[in-house]
Parts: sequence; C-alpha cells; structure tokens
Amino acid sequence: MLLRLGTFGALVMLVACNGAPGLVRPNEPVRVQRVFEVESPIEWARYRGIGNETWTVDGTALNRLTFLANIRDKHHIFGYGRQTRRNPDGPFFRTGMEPNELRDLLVDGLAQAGFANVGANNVQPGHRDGFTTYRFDLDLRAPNGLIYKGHALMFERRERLNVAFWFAPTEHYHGRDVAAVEQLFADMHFRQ
Amino acid sequence: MFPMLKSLLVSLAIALVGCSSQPLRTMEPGDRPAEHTDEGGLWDALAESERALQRSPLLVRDEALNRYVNGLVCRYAGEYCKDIRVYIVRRPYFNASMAPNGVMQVWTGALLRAENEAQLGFVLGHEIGHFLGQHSIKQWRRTKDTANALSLLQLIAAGSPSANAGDAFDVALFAAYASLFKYSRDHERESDQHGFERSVALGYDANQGWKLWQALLAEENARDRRKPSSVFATHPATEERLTTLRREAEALAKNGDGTGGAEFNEALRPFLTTWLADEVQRRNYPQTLVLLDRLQSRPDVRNAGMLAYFRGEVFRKRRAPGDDKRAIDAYVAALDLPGYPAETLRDLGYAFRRVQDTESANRAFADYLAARPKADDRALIEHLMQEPVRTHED
Repeated sequence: MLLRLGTFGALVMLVACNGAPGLVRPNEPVRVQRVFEVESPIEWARYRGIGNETWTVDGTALNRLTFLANIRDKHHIFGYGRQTRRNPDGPFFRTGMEPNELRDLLVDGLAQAGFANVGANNVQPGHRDGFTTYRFDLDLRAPNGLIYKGHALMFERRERLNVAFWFAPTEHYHGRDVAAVEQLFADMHFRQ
Repeated sequence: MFPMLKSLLVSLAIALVGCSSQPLRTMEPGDRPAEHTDEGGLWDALAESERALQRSPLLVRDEALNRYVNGLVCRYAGEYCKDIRVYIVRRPYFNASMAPNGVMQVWTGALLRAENEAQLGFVLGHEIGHFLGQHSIKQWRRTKDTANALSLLQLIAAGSPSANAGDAFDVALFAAYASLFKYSRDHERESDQHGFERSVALGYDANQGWKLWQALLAEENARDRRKPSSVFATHPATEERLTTLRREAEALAKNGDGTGGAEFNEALRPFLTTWLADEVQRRNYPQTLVLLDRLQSRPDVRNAGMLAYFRGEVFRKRRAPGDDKRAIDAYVAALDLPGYPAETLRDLGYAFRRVQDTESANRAFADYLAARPKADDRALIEHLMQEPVRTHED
C-alpha cells in the first residue's frame, strides 16, 4: 500500500517536475491543459504535467485539485499504463463509458493508489458547453487515518476522458474551501 | 583457480550465513524480551507500528466480528492467547501476518475465502506457529548475518588477485539470497505443520487445510499476472503445501469432523456485501470469478442472489467480448434468487443500455426507482432514461 501511495506521490512529484510551479490568482481565468477553462475565487499553487495538473493551497495532503485531460481509450485513469493482454484488468478508460463506469473508474483508481473506503455518491448529470458532464461527491480515507471529502467532475470530449477532482480533510480544510471549490466547479467551462 | 575460488566463496557464504548471532529466548506466556536486546529494540519499533495500525481507517472495528475471530485465535493459541492482539484489516487479498510482538493481522480477503471455521482456524494456527517459532526474529537475525557475511566476502573478493573474484562473489551473493528465501519457506512449512496439528488437536476436520489451499491454487492458476520465481519466493508453492497437508490428513488414524460452519457464517455474513464489493474493486476478474464459483457452490449458501449480482458486476466492469450478455444473464439470474441487492435492477438497466436495448434498460431503471424511491442517484437514472444510448466499440 505504501508503494502505491508512493507511486501516487511520485506522480504528483512528476507533475511538479514537468513544469515550473505557478500561481493561480483569484478571479483570473486560467486555461488548464487546453481543455478546462477555470476561474477560481481563491489562490492556488499550480503544478503542470503532461496531461495533468495539480493545484493545492496548503500541500497535496491537505487539499488537492487534480485535472486529468485527454485520457485515451484503454489508458489508465492515472496514467499508470495501457490496457494490454498481460494487464487487462485495471481502471482503464473505454470510450463511451456509462456514468456508473466513469464513477467506478475514479473510485477504483483512488483505491488502487492506496486510499481506503473510497466512495462516490450523489451523481448529478449535467450539460455544459455541448458536453454531458457527471458530478459526484467523494469520500475517502488515507492510510494515516485522515478522512477526506471532495467532488469530482468527469466528461468525455472527442472520445477522450477529462476529469477534475478535489478533496481535502474533513478536519478544517474541507469546510474552509468547499464553497470556493463548488463555485470553481460550477463556473468551469470546456473548450470545444 | 576460478572454480576453487567460487566454491570457497559460496561455502564461506553458506557457513557464515548459517551462524546465528544470538540464541533465541525461551518464550513463556506473558514474557517479553529484555529491553537491551535486539529483540527488545524490535518490539519497541513494532509498538509504534501497532499504534499506527490502531488508527488505520482500514481496521474493521465491528465488535462481534472481532470477538469471534479473537475467540478462535485464543482456542488455537491456548495459554499464549493474551500475548496475541488481533487486527482485522479491510484488504481484499488472502493474507494474514504475525509480528514477533504478538500483533496478528487478518485481512478481510482471507475471511472471505475461508469456507468455514476450520479453514480460518488453520490460517490463524499457521500464524500462531510463526509467533511461537519466533520466525520473525530468526529471519531478521539471519538477514542481518547474511548482510554481514556478504560484506566480508566482498572485501575478500576485492582483495583477491584473481580476475574472476567478482564473478565468484556474484555467485555467492545469489546463493546467500536464495538461502535466505529458502529459510523463509522452511518457516512457512513449519507453521503449516503447527496450524495442522492444532486443528487436529481441537477436533476440526484435518482436511480443511488442504481444501483451502486447493481453492487458493485454483485462484492462483486463474490469475493473469506473471508469477514470481520460485527460488526467490518467500512461501512454498501452493501445490506443495496442498500435497503435504493432504498426505498428512490422509495419514491420520482418527480425524475430527468439526468445521464450525454455522458459527462462522453467522459472524461473517453481515460483511459479505462489502467484502465482495472490495473484491470486485481489485479488478482481478479471473480470480474473482473462481472465488464466486466457489462461494456459490457451498452447500449452505444463503445469499445466492448477491453472489449472482457480483458475477454480473465482474462482467460489467471487465467488458471483454461477450461480457455485456454475460452481465445481463447474471443480473437476471440474481433477480430469481434470494438476497439480491436493489442495485441489481439499476445495473441490469446499464447492461441493457450497453447492448442498445433502451426499452429493457428503462424498464429495469423504473423498477429500480420503484424499489429505491429515495435512491441518491435518482436524478442520474431519470436523466439516463431520457438520454439516447451511445454505440460502443469493444
């Protein structure tokens, strides 16, 4: 489990290494991975990777907003490889997945990354900028005992999956930022 | 020169590795090692890990289940009962472990796979065998001694005028590590023996141990991942364990007939849905299908509908050619069996959508909403009932 959390951490570090850390200033529109158009009411540190970005206010253990863009058919949701005959059974995206399958993809991916008791509920469909979106709430726990809550939004664009998810510990951090993040999710737009 | 040097280094490696640096303490119930010893230091470090384990969100804290498993451990541990603290960990893999300070972890995957109390007892008895045999401390010391011996050999090889000394050292290194893994496998065999003997002494059916390994072997053979090399395996091959235990059970003059099935089922049934969901989430579908077959074939199966539902879930998630149809068949079968969850109707709806059968999908969704009027995914289901079905490529 430590190894998987380490891998997940390494992914975050890799993200950090891939691009210069930046700053997301409040109420300034930002384009993320050429897919998401985001305007945040609060400030974030921004780490850009190839096909993904991680934003955080206090460090990724305390709040993490992750964008995953253009995940291709048969690719792992967190970029851990491709579905092959030898490796057929991971959380791999398949074009045309139903909303329950998309939800399972993120839940199983987070569980595989070492989080425990990962749950998703209250899936809400929506339409935005010509795409069908699915938003849902997340519940998960880290092996160190921290309880996290958060949100996720997923949609398919040009037969590729795009995901934004945020989570923070229920102690202090979730409550502090939840309104701002909900506004960020509500105001988010997608390029055609 | 080279063969002589090589055999000398290999012999030295084996001889040095074989020297145990300290004798084992005599272990009486309630004892703990002296603080100034290496084992005392190890216990201190393990106490910190135990505190972390106690905070872990993976811990299953249900009182009744813990009471049941603890009771079984006490029966197997006898007078050492108070030295062992059991932690049930929510992990969907077959595993149990024993630390030298008496911390036993039992993973929910092991609870799910044991068919009855006798099988679970065998696993717990095996772990208690590790504890009483002080295997962890033996292995720890052996590893330390091996590392020391190899450091010495490296110095000898470095100082040797022979150009082949480096190669000889590599061979010695290989031999030393292989011997380390073999040592671990020997401990496993010894613990199997302990679990077997305790089961017999407690009047359980001695055949349950090998039957459990037989079931695990079937899962192992179904898996689609590469298997580790046997030279560096820490455990003996499942087949070998199965054969040994079977031979011993058959050689017994008198065998008990207790399996403790009823008590076991009573204690574990409330958790079956959660553990099966965790099992499917593992996404190792060939193994899960073998497991579901086995659970379904139990003579006392009471929740056949739930097992059929999870079979459908495997096919829905796997999406191999033909799985859409298999998922539908499994969900439909579940609806005719006792114990199916309401989600069967919803997921049947999804499965029908995958084969472009909108009418059947909407009928299943409507049945789901009727069965669960306050479902938290009502908005989504109602949305899907209006949404055209997409075409899929597999």
